[in-house]
Amino acid sequence: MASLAATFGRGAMTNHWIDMINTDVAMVMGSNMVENHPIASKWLMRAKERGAVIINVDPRYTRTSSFADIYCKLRSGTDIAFVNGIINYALQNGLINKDYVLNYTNASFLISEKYSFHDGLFSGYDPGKRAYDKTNWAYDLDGTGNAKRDLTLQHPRCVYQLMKKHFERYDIDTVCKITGSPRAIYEKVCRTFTSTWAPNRVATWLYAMGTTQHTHGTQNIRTYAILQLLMGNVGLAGGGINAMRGESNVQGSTDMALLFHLLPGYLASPTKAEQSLEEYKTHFTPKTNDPKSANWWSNYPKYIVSLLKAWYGDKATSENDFCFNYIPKRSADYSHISLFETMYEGKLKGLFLFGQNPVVGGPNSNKERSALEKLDWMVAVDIFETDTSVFWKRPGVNPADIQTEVFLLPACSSVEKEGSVSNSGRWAQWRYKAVEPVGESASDLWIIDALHKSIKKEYATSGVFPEPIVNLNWNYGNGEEIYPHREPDVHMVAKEINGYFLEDKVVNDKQFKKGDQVPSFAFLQNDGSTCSGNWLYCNAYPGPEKENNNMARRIKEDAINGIGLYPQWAWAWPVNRRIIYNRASCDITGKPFDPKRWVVRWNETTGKWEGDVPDGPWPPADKYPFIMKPDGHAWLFAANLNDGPLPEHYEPLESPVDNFMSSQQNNPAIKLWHKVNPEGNAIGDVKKFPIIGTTYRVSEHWQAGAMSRNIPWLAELVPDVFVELGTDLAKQKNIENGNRVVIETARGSMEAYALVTRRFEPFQLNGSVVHEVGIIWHFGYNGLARGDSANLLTSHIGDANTMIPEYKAFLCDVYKKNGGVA
Amino acid sequence: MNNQRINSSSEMDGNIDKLNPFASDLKEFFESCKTLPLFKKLPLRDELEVRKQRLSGGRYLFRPCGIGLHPNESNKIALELLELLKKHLCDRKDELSAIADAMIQEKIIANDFLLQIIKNEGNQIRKVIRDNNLAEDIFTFFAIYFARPFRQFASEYLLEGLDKLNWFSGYCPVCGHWPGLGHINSEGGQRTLWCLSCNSKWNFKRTQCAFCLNEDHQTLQILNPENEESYRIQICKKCKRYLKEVRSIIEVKNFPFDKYYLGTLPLDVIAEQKGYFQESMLTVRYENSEGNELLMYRQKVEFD
Amino acid sequence: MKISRRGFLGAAGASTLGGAITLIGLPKTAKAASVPEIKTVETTESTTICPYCGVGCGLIVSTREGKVINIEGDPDHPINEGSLCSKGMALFQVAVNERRLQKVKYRAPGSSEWEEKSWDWTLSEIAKRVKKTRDATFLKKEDDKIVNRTNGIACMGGASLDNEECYLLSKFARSVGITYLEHQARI
Repeated sequence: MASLAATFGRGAMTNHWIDMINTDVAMVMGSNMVENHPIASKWLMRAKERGAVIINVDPRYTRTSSFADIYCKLRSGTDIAFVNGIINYALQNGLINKDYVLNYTNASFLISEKYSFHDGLFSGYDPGKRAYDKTNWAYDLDGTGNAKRDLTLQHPRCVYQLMKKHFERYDIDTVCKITGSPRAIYEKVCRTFTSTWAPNRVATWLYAMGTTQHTHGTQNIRTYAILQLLMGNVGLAGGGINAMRGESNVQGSTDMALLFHLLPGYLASPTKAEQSLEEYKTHFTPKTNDPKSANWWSNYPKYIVSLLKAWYGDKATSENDFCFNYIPKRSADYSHISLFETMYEGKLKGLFLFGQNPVVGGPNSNKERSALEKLDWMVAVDIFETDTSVFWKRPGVNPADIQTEVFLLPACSSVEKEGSVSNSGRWAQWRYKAVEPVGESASDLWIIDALHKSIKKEYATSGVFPEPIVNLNWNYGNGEEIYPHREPDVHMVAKEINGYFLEDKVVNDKQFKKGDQVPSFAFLQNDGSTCSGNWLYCNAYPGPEKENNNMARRIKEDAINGIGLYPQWAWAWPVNRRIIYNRASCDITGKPFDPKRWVVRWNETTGKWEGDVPDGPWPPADKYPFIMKPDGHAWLFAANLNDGPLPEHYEPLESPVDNFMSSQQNNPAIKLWHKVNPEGNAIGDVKKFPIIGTTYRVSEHWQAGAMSRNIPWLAELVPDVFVELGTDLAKQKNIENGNRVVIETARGSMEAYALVTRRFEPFQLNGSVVHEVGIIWHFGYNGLARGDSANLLTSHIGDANTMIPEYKAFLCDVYKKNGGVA
Repeated sequence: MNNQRINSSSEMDGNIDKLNPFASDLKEFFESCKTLPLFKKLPLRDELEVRKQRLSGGRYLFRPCGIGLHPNESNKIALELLELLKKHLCDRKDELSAIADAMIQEKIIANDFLLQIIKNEGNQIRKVIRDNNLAEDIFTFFAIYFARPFRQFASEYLLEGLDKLNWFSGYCPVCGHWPGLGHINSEGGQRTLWCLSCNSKWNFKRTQCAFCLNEDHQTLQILNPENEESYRIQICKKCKRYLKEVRSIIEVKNFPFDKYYLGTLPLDVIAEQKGYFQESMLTVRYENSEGNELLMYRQKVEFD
Repeated sequence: MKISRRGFLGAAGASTLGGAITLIGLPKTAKAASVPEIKTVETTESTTICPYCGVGCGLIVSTREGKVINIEGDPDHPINEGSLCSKGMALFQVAVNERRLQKVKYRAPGSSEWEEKSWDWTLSEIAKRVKKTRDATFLKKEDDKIVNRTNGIACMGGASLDNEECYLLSKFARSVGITYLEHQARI
């Protein structure tokens, strides 16, 4: 997501599930979607029936590969080399949508003379800090504060030329040496994919955890974005960069900012550097001097003030900075790995867990499980007894040694409560309560409401800095006291998220009364007259009645352009735009690049756009299409990422080979936890652990297993954990299918059944032969179906920008246990 | 994988199977009608795009003004149908004969009467019933099936070229009558509504009243006889109407709607007992492009 | 005309049909009363969205007398059109499952067993611990700058919570001063 934000200005699937039917070429890379998003595959199937070509790139031959037209093998962790090679192929052969690239991307922008790249490092690197001074990559500005541009794309310091130079090192031979891909197939992939440069051909890019779970995950996505922009595929039907998310509401939970670095709506959470609201606004509100740039994030102040009013109501006034200082300020990285490292050091005393099972889903399980023992208390809220909630009696520990108090609160299932969830395509869909929660279980809504009220009561008379708690604006219709069956009114919450007027006001010539719902974020104010819990969702519930709840709509009529938008089925953010960046689907006169699959088009007679909700109502050419970037252009060159403005191949932290591209073995901007806190963070040596290990999922189980290993039908389908290995490796190790084996890394070991298949083939890399194995990671010591967790093997090392752990590539060894018998 | 109970011994199944002779004769009758010249002048049919637009606007396609019929054929069809009904509805033989006699004696001109049915002229039909002292219920039944071959032909004619109907209104997209039966596909659960008057079928959202378009699941319910999971009625507490539904493994295109419509009469009884109703089969919705209000042209019936 | 219940449902086909014809074609009929009341069951069908992956397939949940009796794909949902994968099809076993947590459980320090507790007790005890930990670890300033946070409490989860729940959790966690706020999107 960080990558998409860097390139386009917001991080989300650009298109939506049904839209896949419109594509000519689908690239499924970093995903096994037939396995993990099975129903979505039906849309790919329909595209195929219409003549689309499906390409699948994966270290293993998966269910998706068998469905694809072209399958190309690649070694785990070499995605950047693979796609950089395709970018190079496009640039060398002139297979780019020139119009699109020139007008809609920063290809023509000039970069500062301070920028350079040499032997795997960009200019401005501080090896002590393991960080870059990004001012070295800034635009070369003209007198008015805008970037200098060369529309002929010839200037040696224009992004286009810098890219050509950067990517020309990724010729086909080099790429295949690194990735282990068969040359002929790789060439075919290059040819097929780059055929979509033509305005009447489009490709969609579909990815998931195989892309993100690397130390260079952000840059992986950057390569996809760069290539798609060169092809002119972003903003078009059947195009885009489509992150396929794995949980029913991880999109919503991200939108609502259950992450340390964000506030709802992708606003930044304040840091120590912002001591006042003014400082916050200054730091985070981008500016532009180009009148053609809509720079939509310039509305930042309206969104943060409206959020503060939603959180602190009448207590938030312009005199007290709208209670801005009540929001905790961060001074460091508090992400998952850091969280558990801190916990391991005994500094975290209490932990809330809402439907999360980290002893199975988190990396470096051994360390994380030990860390939990240092907690004073844990509050776990879940529908089943998770592995994490019983960490104190897990195999191999003595409960008497563990002092952590654990409260396990029974949550109700999805059919026992009412509310909305947002799918990957940004569709927020309302769902209904079918039955009452079983036993004494309760909705998370009730539980969170009860927790707040209980804590507020504790702080009624004493305590450290009680203000942020006792002054919190919290009234959802179920009174001050806590009653087991009195549910907060979820509609009131949804309406607060949308936002309403706090006083009578005239906005854009419309009269609003105090209490009116705000129709859309274009009406939000920065003077405290509106509140909105999440500006992106402003328009989801624009009226007072249940009938006004756009998320509950079930109208099956498609839009006039007939491309499967279903604009009145539920509601999508922002403002029901189904394909974002859609202004880029038209040329600068407002005519669609591809009239057969038009998304929006400008109607001269009415002076309005038709089709999908346009990315801004302004006439074509009045504003640049990428309205969330300060300069209105999509960033081929993205100077705000921690590990570089352009993607460069580095090896995973644990790798069997040296980096062929440069002497920089690993991503120079990643935090090396094994150096910071060596305990429990050992890194494996290729001599001891010569095999590449990766993790993946099966269709029958789901994530950390609480909702599948406790289900009799599903537990029966896949009752045990297995490690999949190729026939060559199996022969070498004398392992037969069904044998009991041990997989070991520098951090831990696990047992599993061996699944010997032909789906993993050895990689021929620059002179050496390397094997890869894969383990399904759903398993844990609790539940109906039990087994060792694959994450006992993985490590605390994360991406340089997102800190997402590198689950997908590590070093291990595999051997038979006790002669292979269980 | 769900908990749907599969009936091993269903009374309703048995009941419906017993209608096989009647159903197959009726089917054969409709098939034979297809070979006859039904219309001297075909109903008005717009261009495909215009028809699509009509449907988008909730306007049904069949406009009977200007159609021409063959009087002799109409008469023949009427009498043949009456013979068929006499054969299978033995306990109503006399009343059916009375209708036949009235036609033979030209007290009722079959062709004129047919036009009245097709044009939904309920008042006229009631007059015929009164003037000839006929059994009202059996006459209505006969009337619907008499007009059926003609309306069915019109339906196939008017729907030609339209694969996917963009239709979301509470009545038949061809003739404007309300749906008589809903079919729910065992696999996938799609609901198809069927019009008794013209045999048209259209896809319709499950979680919605097929008449007043209410979508609030708390005021919609499914009732089914105990131990008969495949046979049910959807009731709407808002408009008090009901729709019979059959969940079947038989695909829509092969499903014998008439047989199931007649064989599921116990479901109509249940609906009546619970206080739900359907308008007379002769009811049609007047064209009304404004709002959701369903203007029903009701048959006023006098009770004895 | 008198028709017994048994006779009616298992009727001898068309012969009784003639009599039953009476019931159709008429908005109200006195004849219906002559049939004894047939026992029926009432089912509610409501819609929901699958809680598993991020595709967001639609489902229809059938409930009878307050219990879930069936969950099937929603045929009218534009994405899945009634079809479901093996997990969606198994959702019934999430709703109806004896392993579902039905009571609050508490584990005391050093104990090897769970104890059942009431909500009242639990909420009050949790609140006490939150206050204790927060008060002990709250940092108003760091290097003379306002930070107003507690680094002693962390909050993780939840990608399967509803939007409204996520929003309240986000709001609640910040009000307590929690900065260690994370969930599945990070991993």
